[in-house]
Amino acid sequence: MEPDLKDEAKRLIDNMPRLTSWDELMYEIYVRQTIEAGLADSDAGRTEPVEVVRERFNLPK
Amino acid sequence: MKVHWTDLAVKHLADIHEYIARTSPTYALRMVDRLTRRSQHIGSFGTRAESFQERTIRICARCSKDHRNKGMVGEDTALLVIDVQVGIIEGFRAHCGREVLDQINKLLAKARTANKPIIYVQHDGEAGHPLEVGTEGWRIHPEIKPNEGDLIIRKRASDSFFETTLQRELEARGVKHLTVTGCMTEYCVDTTARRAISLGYDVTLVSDAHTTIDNKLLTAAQIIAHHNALLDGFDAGPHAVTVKPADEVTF
Repeated sequence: MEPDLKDEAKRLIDNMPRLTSWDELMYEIYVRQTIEAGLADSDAGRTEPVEVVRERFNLPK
Repeated sequence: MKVHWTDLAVKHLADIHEYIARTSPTYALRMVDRLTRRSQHIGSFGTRAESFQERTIRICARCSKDHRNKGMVGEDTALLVIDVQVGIIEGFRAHCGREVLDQINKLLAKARTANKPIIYVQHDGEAGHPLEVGTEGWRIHPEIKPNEGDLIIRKRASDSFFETTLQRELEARGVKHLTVTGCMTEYCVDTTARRAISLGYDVTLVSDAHTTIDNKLLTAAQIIAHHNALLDGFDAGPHAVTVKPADEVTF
């Protein structure tokens, strides 16, 4: 069963000092979603050293 | 310490590169170079990074600003108030002097609450100079005046480290990070920020807490905006300038 995110979503809004536009809320949700996706990548070992990332762009280590 | 990028962060980096490359492949590569180099610096933060109790710092290219704001300013921070003297704020009628004093006062309150070192720098002008020692213009502006125990460093050049005890005083207090405010943007603020980086400090330049006056080519507002843009990310080795407004600065 998928986790219920309602409480997490409420907490995210409660932790915002002010909310003056829907864009702000969408940005906060996007940041949260991205961080969690990044952490999931990390936990699953889906990472690579920064030197390898730079090599992809033909940048020196 | 090894720095790894998550697959998602790499994908975002590639997206950023692809988007900028549509108009300028050169700037696209420069942005990738800058973002990845900044992430490499995390590996050399040593004791600060150890507080995360992880050997690998997990970062996301799209979120780096958020992590930076929360994590990088710590217990080894000092507030530097450069040349906020009557002769500049009132005598030169520095740009938005009132607002800058208000922002510096906010920062002073935050630093005092957090019990962080506050260091005033005071320029000693020669005879006839608007900041001539002992004159009204030389005085530190009364609205941001030092408290008992605040340190005052007197200088005679744009560089606050030049022939002063500033570095020694910072070392004595274990300071590794400077939050820089004051006057004048393109002289003492700029020079001191750059020198601090070369000497191995990290710097937060407070975008709305430094000021200057118009010159023959540019307005004060243009000079301030230019320096805020120019110095953000200015680095040497693992140390860099971060530019942010007073409301976002924490101690």
